[in-house]
Amino acid sequence: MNSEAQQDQQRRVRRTTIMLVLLALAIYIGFIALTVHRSHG
Amino acid sequence: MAYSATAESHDHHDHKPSGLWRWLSTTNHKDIGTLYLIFAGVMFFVGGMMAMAIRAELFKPGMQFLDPAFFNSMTTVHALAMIFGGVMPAWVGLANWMIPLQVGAPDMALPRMNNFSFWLLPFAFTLLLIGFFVPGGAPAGGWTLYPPLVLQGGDSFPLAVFAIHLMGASSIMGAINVIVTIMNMRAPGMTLLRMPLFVWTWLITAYLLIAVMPVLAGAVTMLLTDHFFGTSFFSASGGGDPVMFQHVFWFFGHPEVYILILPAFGIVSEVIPTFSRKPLFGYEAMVYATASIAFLSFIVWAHHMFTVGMPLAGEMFFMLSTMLIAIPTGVKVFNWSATMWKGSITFEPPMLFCLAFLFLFSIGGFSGLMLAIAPADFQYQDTYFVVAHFHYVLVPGSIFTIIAAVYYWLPKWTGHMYDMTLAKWHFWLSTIFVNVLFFPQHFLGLAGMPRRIPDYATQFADWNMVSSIGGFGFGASQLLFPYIVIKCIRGGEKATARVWEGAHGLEWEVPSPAPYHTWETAPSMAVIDRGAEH
Repeated sequence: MNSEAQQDQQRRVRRTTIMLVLLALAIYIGFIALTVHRSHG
Repeated sequence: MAYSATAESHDHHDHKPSGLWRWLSTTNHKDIGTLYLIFAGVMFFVGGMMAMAIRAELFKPGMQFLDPAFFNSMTTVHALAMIFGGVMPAWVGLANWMIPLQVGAPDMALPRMNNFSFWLLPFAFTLLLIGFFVPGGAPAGGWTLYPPLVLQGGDSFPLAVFAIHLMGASSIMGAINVIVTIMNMRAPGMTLLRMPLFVWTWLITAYLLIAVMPVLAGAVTMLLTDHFFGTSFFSASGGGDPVMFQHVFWFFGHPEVYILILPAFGIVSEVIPTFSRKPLFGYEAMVYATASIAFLSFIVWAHHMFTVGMPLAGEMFFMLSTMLIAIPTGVKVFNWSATMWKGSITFEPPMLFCLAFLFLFSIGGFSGLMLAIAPADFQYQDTYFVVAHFHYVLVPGSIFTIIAAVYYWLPKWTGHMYDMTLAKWHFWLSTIFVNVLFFPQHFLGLAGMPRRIPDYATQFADWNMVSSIGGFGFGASQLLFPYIVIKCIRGGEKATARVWEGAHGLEWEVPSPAPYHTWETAPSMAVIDRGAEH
């Protein structure tokens, strides 16, 4: 694989990883917020 | 049977580090896969010993060996060890070994995170098992951790919560790694709809993991703050709602069931075509059925809690949405059967375990349909019928297919064939005893025997004794498995690259044993075409 393709792959790997980490964090915080709202709403 | 492999750029520098440091610091997907599989094997035997203790206590009415609190710890930790320590790490181990090989990638996309996510697990389970030695004993409120009962536990409660956090973090990292690898590291020409079904089912499983493991982490975090910091998320006395925990838990818990079983569907979809010497019937339908099952798993959670009291419309919704799952599952069972139709079938050990899966998992599916009927569930709830149902789904479902996967790929991993006769003995003993163990539990449940009790009325004595005999037989027959695997690692008849006459896929294009580094140069289209004959 040439270096440009390799760099492009690394960029895609980084972008997908960050998006998935953010998704997991959003679900974690979102569900706690939802539970607070529903428990005391 | 022999097939000459194209060892494109695999074996020119098969160097690897040695000693303990290799295993502590490795970033190689095959090493990490091996570590996961060894860990899962150890946890299967730890959880299995607890199951033996449970069945020994239930062998006859009256208290035999265990005190009731310890019995409750046994059922709780058995479940946690088997689910989070056995089945899930076994699937992650198989994913690590096989996904890069099957998609033509040199390794997982995030190898250092891969190492970290494995090494979290021994610490997590040490924390969980330390609970047996602290005041109050190990967690005993059931694996569902329902408050307020779980909040009345001893000092092991925060240890268990921390352990669950570590397992969750490990699972999420593993899932991120799988998705990033599949989405970004596939060889050119390996399009999504050419991927092997095991890769597809794992991709969907990984999305499920990312969607629900944070929910479990959130739920146990709130339990922790309720216990130590005076919050009242789930405490009615402070304005909270204990039933809310059940909703949050099962929003995680039901997709978790599919996390345990979807990769099993992938294995069966690999093994049945190989030993039927036919392409998989309805490849695309299998992919869409898997995705449908995953979607439906998010909208059925309250069928686990029909008896808490919910509006009739809610009961109807969760009953009908649960029954819908039978449709894509039926598609799968039909397609596996159609794959075998007029095939040249041979019965090697992986095929035998997958055939047993087909029959026995279907029994678990049918009892699941019975449990989905809300008015009937009021009778079945918390009885041994439920225990029989989920053990039929998880033991001949997940565990049999993990065994099938190991028997399928073991020659590829070790370069040796294993002892087929012993493996067939392993199959027959497992299949007979698993039915002796779990089938009578349907009768016990229908007769009204509650689950999670160390003693019972004498009317349940006979079937409990039969079930325990099945349990001891099943446990003893599993000792064959490590013996066969270790014997195979130490030597045996040389395996060819293709190993099985009807096998297709990129993993069979590399020599056996698979070199330490594979696909450093992406496979050519010709190689992908040869491997992708589903």
